[in-house]
Amino acid sequence: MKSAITDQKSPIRDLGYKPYDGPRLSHRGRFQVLFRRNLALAWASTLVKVDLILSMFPMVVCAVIMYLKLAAQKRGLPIKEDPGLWVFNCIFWCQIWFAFTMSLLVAAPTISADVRSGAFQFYFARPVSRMAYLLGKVLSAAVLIASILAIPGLLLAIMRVALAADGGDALTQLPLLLKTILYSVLFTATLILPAFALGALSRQPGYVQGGWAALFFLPWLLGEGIAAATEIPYIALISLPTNLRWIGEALFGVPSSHDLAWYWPTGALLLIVGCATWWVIRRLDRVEVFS
Amino acid sequence: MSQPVVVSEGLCKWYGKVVGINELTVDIPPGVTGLLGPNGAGKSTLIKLLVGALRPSRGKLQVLGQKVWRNRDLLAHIGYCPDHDGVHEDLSGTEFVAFLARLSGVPADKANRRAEETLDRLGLADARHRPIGHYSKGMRQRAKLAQAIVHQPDLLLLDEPLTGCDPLARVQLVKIIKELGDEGKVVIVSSHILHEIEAMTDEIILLYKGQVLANGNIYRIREMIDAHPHKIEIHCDDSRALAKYLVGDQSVHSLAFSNDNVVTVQTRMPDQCYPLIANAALDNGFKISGLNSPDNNLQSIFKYLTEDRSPEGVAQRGTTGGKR
Repeated sequence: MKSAITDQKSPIRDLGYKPYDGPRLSHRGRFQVLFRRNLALAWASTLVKVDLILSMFPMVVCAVIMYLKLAAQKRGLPIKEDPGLWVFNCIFWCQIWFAFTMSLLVAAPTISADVRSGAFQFYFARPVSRMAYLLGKVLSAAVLIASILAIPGLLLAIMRVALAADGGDALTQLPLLLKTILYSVLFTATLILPAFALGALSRQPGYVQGGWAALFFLPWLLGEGIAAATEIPYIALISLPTNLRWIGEALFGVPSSHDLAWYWPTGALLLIVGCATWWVIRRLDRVEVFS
Repeated sequence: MSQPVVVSEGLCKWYGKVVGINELTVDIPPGVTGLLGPNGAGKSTLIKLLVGALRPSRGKLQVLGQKVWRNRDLLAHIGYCPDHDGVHEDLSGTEFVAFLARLSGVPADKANRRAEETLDRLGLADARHRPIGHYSKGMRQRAKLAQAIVHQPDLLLLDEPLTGCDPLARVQLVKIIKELGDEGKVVIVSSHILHEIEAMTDEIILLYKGQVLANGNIYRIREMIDAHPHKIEIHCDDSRALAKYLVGDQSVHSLAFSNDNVVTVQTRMPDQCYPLIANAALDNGFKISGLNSPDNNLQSIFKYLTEDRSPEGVAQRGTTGGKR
């Protein structure tokens, strides 16, 4: 650019124009601008705030249950499962609903709303790459969804470690923190990237939200139903929540509800999320800005 | 002549089977240049190609000596005001302009100040803290123009910037666009309203069906009209008597009556015909209440150039298009 403007006999200088010589940010930081803007936009929504606040209540219930179980364990009462499993129970069985709602609000409609409103014209007429755009949008949604999943999960995990019977037990439970983080990250990616991929298909945010709900719940219902009826568990691998549950069970050591090894749901989930990521990148890479 | 800022050679853009831009070869010099054409002529397509929002299907396109598509370094030096709103209605004017300034690379600590200065310049000082959703159409247009110039680009692309503006806002925007040109910015502004362009610049590119119909100085293009019948509409108390007076003169090509008081003269020699009409009024006492020349503006040039796009018609005017 510099050579075009300054090194050549520029027609712009012929007219006495003085090019801007102040600082400019590097292109690499552009996603942060979009990230902050998208986060502020989401936070302005009452539904988002309500969802975030409500999502903290199940944690309290789970914490009480975990505390009671730990207290009973200390008194020598027979407890079948380790109370630490309530981290998984809380994330999968309780937080999933709030996290899904959040993905419905902040992930699914993001791209289609930008296409519909014509915001791409403003973004891509600037030095903003498609990847920077995607990164900014994905990260802002990820922060909100991960906070629903990871904050309660981590607090429960910390509580489990803190209330350990002795030092040895506490050390044994320490990996629970890492498992919670890992599971929350996987969960968040699963709730965001397929939703973004759907969002890149339509200009109608409402359709995308409906499609995302259908994609999330229908295979869950059908996959598990047919798998149970036919006794072929592989069929249930089409479901995102089933894969998440089976991975969680393997990760947290919950007694398994199926016969498949952990790598089956992990592979299926990574395949789905990977395809979604590939699709959204491809769509954005090819995007041309129409209005 | 200054080096061209925009160089295109055989540029094509297809939307599937629909042609947006067809073999467009044109150089655009510095200063303010108007892109003129009816809806669907390819003005917005050309501007989007220039800003890298569309990928050329074929041909060469260079802006400031560089290719455009996926050239982020170049985009930092371009300001674009789209025809479509697409703004975040919840943002205030300052927030909107500052946000986009930051996306253009203006550091955070300077973006707000620059946004406010730009909005002040565009007459939105009092409204800059109000949400854009509460702005009038004219104010939105000015806010869009503000985001296009806030990062001080070298090249400014304005797509129908006056659309929807009230007359006062139009005057203000035209003034600002002319000022930007005077400051040395390269401004390319599109419109399908001919007098809008005429008010901003003399340098025009006429687009029609994705092709350059003519380009250059409006007055040079206007000269082409001389060989074409030129209409003069005369409002007179006795149009038939006036017509009888005029009909014998060699400068008069034909006559037509709109009603009893209006006669329209077609002439190939307007320089002779106008004195003839004046003499008619002086010598014979015709009371001429109005004298219009519907041809004497860009509209007539555009109509003249577009009304016959047959191969013969194009061949007759073969020198009007292409590079300057």
